[in-house]
Amino acid sequence: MIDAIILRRGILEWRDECLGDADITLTRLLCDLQGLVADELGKAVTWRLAAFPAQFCETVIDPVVARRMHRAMSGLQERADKALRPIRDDALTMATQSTPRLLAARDVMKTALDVGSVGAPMVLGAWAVVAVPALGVGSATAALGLATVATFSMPILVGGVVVAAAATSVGLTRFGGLSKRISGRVKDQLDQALTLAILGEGSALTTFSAEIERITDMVLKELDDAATATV
Amino acid sequence: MLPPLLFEIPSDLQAKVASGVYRQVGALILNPATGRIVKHLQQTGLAQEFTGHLICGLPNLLSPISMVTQLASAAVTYSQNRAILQGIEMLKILGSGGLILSGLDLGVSLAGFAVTSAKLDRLNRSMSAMDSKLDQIGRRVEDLHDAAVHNDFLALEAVCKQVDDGWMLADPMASWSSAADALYGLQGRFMDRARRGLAFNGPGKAAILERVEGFVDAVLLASSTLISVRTAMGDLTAARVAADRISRDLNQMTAAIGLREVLAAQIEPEGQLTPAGRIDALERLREPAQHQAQRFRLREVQAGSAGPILQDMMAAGVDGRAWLAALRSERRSPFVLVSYDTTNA
Repeated sequence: MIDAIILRRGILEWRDECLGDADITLTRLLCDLQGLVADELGKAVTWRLAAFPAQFCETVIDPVVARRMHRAMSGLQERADKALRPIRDDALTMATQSTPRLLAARDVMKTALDVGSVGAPMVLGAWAVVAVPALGVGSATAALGLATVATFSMPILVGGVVVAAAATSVGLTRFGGLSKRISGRVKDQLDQALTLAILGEGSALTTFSAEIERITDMVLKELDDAATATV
Repeated sequence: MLPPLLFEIPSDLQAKVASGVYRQVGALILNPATGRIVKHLQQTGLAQEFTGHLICGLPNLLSPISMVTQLASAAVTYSQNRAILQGIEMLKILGSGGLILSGLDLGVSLAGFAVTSAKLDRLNRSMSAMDSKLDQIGRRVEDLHDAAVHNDFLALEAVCKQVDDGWMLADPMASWSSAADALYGLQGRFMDRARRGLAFNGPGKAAILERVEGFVDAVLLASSTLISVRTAMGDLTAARVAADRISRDLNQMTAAIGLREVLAAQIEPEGQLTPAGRIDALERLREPAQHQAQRFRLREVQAGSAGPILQDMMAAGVDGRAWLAALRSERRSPFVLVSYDTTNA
């Protein structure tokens, strides 16, 4: 019972700290990306952009988005993992105590890895399903759940390929109507696509929205599920 | 057998709390290495006399934010009363001032009517103030702000009075037993209202969340009085079962309320935001949202503290009624430290 009180409170405070961090970090990311897209468009050769907008996005914009997204999300993951360490230390201290206490704690702190196997694979658009456990690396003592995973990780960050898929899911290269638009409107569309993908709002690209998971929502849900499922 | 009371904080205990060897969670001082309560803060009859005044002066029932100034003001107000000053000092040293100012009970509730009445009055007034906000919400949430709520507050106040009056009766068992039944019902009804409020999704969620806080406070008031009356009846097992049940139910209900939910509710009235506007709103509203989320954590800890305390009391063979009677008549300090197990310090 006492174990549960300490760990539960720690996990919920960790969740709130990470969620607050993620929300503002990803919104800042959107602002940065919109500025970077504007820069790249400013540097682009107009006729090439007008003739091959999809190719331009694939070769110029997507890598910028992927790089920035990876950096932002790696930072989120590192901070989340660092904040989890003291809770993990408490859990491991408690786990060294008597079996009844361990079992009692286990009742409360469900196996975090189950969260991944049951219901939290990250879905990055219909074409990029990443079916990995919600909490990447589990330690042998994962019985105490989130508090004892060796390293907290979000599947959206597993490998560069996934991050590239996340960038692609922004839809820059898949937006069918793009090639028919004049170059002057490309920036607006890119801004809308980025906003929709990262924040899930403020975009008129409603036909596209069904295909795109809101990245911020996914990250926040990931953190939320991981914490809530263990308390 | 009644456990000894400590009126001052032993220096080694203070050092261990400060160094992190012991962990303070709510009113409990815990040893993570043994998983046991080292000591817990317990209010006495003297606390009942002045916390009511403090609660009446607070902007919200739970106001940990204003803890420091409120404590300072309490110290000035009670500067002539050495015992109260000593108790306030104890809270300050342990960084627990917010707990008593929160209106939540420290340790086992003494269910004193004066302080209970002050809490209920505060709750009822804040609920009434919120009604106007709810009226502005297009989709009203049925039964969250109507006469039935007011009537249940009156019923809760009457039952709390009945429990308190029981201490003056030669044989209070029948009265306490009927009060316990009534408290179960009231606790359930307020819990149900809180659940419905949390299930609401739509414009005006921020006002609904404030309302939910009021219902959760009412739940805690009913449950702490119920636990107190069961303890007074000498049935510590029933008290423990009631404490565990309310803790589990509350945890299940409010675990999902965190910064994300509160922030979303508070940002919603600002309408469609640009990314820059969203960043501004997130930064501006994060602190108050965090405070609101923390208040839910504080309540969960409060609800979760009673069970382990009662378990220790049972293990130590404490007579619940004699124990509560001793605490209610205690006037040397408003707060004391209690340990039921001297082997774990």
